[in-house]
Amino acid sequence: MSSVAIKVEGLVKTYGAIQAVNNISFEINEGEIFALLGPNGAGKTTTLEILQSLRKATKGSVCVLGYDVSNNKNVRKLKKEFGVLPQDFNAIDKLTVKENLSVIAKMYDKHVNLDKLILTLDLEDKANSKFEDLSGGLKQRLGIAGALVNDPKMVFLDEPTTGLDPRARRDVWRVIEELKKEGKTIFLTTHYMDEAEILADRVAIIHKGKIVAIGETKTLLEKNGGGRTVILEDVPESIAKEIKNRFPKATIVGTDVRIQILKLKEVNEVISYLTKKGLEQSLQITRPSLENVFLELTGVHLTEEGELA
Amino acid sequence: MKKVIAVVDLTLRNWFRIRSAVFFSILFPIMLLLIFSTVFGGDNDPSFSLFVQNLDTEEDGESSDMSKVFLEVLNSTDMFNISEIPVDADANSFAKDEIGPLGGVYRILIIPEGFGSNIVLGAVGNRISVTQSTIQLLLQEERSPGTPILDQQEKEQIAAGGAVLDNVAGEVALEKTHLVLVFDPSDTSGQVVYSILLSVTDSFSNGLIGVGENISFDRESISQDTFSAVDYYLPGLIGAFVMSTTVIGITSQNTEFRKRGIIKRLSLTPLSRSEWIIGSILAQTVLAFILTLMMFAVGWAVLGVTAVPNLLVVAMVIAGAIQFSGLGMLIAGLIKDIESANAASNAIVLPMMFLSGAFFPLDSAPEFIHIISSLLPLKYLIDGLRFGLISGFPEGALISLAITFGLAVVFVIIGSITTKWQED
Repeated sequence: MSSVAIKVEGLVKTYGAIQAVNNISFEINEGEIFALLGPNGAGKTTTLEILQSLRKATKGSVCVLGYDVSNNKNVRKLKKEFGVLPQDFNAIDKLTVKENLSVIAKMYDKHVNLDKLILTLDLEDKANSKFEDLSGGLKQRLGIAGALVNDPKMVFLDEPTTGLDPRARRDVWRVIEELKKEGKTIFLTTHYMDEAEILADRVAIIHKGKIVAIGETKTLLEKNGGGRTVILEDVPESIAKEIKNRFPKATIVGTDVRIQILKLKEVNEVISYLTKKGLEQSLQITRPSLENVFLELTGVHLTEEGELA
Repeated sequence: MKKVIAVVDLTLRNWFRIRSAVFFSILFPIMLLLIFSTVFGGDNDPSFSLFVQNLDTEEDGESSDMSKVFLEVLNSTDMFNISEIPVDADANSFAKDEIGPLGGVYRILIIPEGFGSNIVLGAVGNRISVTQSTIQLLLQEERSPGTPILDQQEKEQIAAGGAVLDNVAGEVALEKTHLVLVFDPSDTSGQVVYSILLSVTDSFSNGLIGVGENISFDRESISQDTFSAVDYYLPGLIGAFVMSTTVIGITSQNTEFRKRGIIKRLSLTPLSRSEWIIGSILAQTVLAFILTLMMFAVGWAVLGVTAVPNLLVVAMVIAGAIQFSGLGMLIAGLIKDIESANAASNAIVLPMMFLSGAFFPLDSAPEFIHIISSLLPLKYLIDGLRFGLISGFPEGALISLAITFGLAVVFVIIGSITTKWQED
């Protein structure tokens, strides 16, 4: 059985009357990728920054790599052992890729060979380019390189692919998968369902400061995935209302209609109805997803911009 | 220490690659130094142009001896560049032709006919008056009560002599000599020139009456002969730009790095807040030294600056850089927005430059300006640099140094408190 890398118990963080994190508890095992999934403002980054000792918890206990983060002496030691890709990562514009990495590297007693690291992250062609001249994907790869400069046991990645194009996202995913192969423990926050599904061994879904579900990704999908979903795009409003009347489980999101199907035999019924209405061409059927899990557990849809009722 | 040096390294590398920072912190002060030295006379003492028309001539057309002496006195002050206008020329037309259409304003001093003889007669009449007063005292004095010094016959002889002196005095009755200064009302230096001339004329007149025929005028100047005008501007410019470079440098770096998450990223490494603060201050001190050295280099190579920095000047630059780095940290700590923080640092730096006498002496400023100036930290940095560089009394810099170091400690403590390393 793997040993525990992070243990959080009864964590609470309040800002005045606002409760950003509301009594959450979880554990992360060594060598696993753990994703904290939730919309913007759910409390993901606050939780992460408390784990990194960047913020003080209002209540509860947090133990990272065996160190209690409320103890300042522990924090100095702990910082040597983890690497961080902060949300909206930025480096110094006028310095090159290698110079920026060197700045971070000099803050540690020991660090990896920077040329090798640059090679690993496929940044060798841009090693002497200034940060301001890099594309979004390359900047993010430099951020990940910065998180690995001290050869950490544990890596925190806060929204690692936010704002990237699909290709750059896949590049970042590939790097994260490589890190897992190297045995590093990865704590990932994201609001992308697909990202959590593809990368994470275990997922915690956080909503309004509370963890509403936690477990292995597969188990969550099986338990709360809600079966398959029939999606119809660009449906006129009158027809959308008819479908809703016929299938009360259907939900209308903008001009899309989604019908959740729990039993396989219901698929035929839905398809024949939609074919009669001449809507078969805009029809898609999706597998169970974390989006369904989120919808099932919170009653709201999760979109790229946040949640949508 | 390795981490502190890393902070210095990143700050300097970043700074030197921001063209606007290099321009405004290094090249702009040097440009200003060149402009000041050109406008205010380079390696000469400040002087005013002055046309003089001497109408006091002898029968042979030569200028009178007394007017020649007066002109020599004017020249010896080194305050004027004198051009003479011929006796028979129309003074205004001559001066206008001389300076040309783009020459700006001009001033003409007219020495009237009879200037020399009036001075001589005035001096004689004054001497007679003094002699008469002395004799009256002698006539009234007694050796002992009831026993006069002089007998009756001696008194009568002296009284007769006194009457002769009275007659002579009547003939050399004092007649005022009227010098005329013609100047343009828009000439901002006209009043200054008039005041200087008045002072020189008073000295000339008093010298004649007080010393008699052996007149001599010693040149007295507030400046020391070994220094040139640019030596006086240099400490003010160095002080002002050490302040602006460090205050604006720290403010913009801290606010920008904080907004872009770079400080947060660094705080997630083993770098501590105190190492970041020390490194930032050290980097600004290095920049302040580079600026100071470049200004001296240009001054020595191009402008004939003769002042040489000593240890006190080095200490003043260090104290100033630390002090204003602390002020920069304070501004950046209190104002989070980049644009507002930069505007605030400019709003503090620019008035302080003028109110501390960095560019212009405050001698003629109203009293309240002196009070405000004495409350500004830049004043003590500039005073210390001036004392250390040109006063010939470098020990005088010690008080300014002590005040600047004291303020440096205060600013760095307050600045450090406002520099956050951990979120709330």
